[in-house]
Amino acid sequence: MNAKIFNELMTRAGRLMMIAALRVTESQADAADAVQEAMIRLWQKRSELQKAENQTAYAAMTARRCALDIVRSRHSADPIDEVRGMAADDDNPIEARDSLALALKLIDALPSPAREVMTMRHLDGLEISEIQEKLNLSAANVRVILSRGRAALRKNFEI
Amino acid sequence: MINELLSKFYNGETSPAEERQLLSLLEENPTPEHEADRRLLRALCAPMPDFSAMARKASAVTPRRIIRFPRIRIAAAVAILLAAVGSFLLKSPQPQEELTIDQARETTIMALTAYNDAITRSLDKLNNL
Repeated sequence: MNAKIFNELMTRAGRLMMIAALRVTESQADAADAVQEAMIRLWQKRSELQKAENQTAYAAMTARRCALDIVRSRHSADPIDEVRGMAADDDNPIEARDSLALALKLIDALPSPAREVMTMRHLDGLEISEIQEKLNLSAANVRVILSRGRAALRKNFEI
Repeated sequence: MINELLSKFYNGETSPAEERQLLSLLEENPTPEHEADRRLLRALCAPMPDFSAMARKASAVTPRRIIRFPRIRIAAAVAILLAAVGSFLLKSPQPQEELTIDQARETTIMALTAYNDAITRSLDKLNNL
C-alpha cells in the first residue's frame, strides 16, 4: 500500500473514524487527535490494514482505540453535560467548538428510525438515495423521517 | 430566500450544499425568529477535519526503530544485569564471618542499590536501541 492509496482510503474512512472517536471522547478536538493518531498507527501497520476484510471498519476501530487511550490519559476540561443547557447558551464557546459532538448527542437521543436516517444523512454524509438503499425505504419515506427528525432536534435549540 | 430554504430543509428536501448556504445566510442575517434554526444547522453542518491532510501527515511520520526479535532484547537485558551484579560482587568487600545487624543492613542496601542501577541501565540501553 503506497501513500496515495493510503490517502484515498483515509479520506473515505475519515468521517467514520471521526464519529467512532467522537462517541468516546465527546470532544471534537480530542476526536480529531484520535483520528490523527489512528492514521499514524494505520500507516505504520499498513500491511495489516491491507489484509483487513473491511478496511474502513478496521480504521474506525483503530480510531476508537486511540480515542479510548486519549480519554484515559487526558482529563477533559470541557465535558458536555446537559444538551439543552449547552444549546441554549449562545455565549458558551463549547457550542461552536463541539458542534459535531452536540449533533452526535442529539441524534443518538432520537427514536428509531429517525436516529438511523439522521445519522446516515448528517453524520455519515450519505445521500438520500444511499439511505433509501441501506434502509430499504422510499425516497419520500426518507424525507418524511428527516423532516420529523429535524423538527424534533430544533426543540433543543428553542429559547 | 431564507424562508424558502428553511421550508425545504424542514421538509427534508435540501441538498448538503443548500444546507451550507442556508447556514451562511442565517449567520450573516441573524434574527431572534431564526435563532433556533441557525443553531440547529450549525450543529448539523459542522465541518469535518481535512482527512487528506491528516493522512499525508501520518504517512510522513518516521516510525521508531522497532527491534523485532524480543529474545535478543531479553538476552541483552539479562547479560547486562548479570554483568552489573557480577561487577558489584567483585567490588564488594569479602563477607565477614560475623556481621552485626547494621553491617548486614548496609550490605543489603548496597546490593539492592546496585541491582536497581543495573536494571535502570538495562532499560536505558533497551530504550535507546
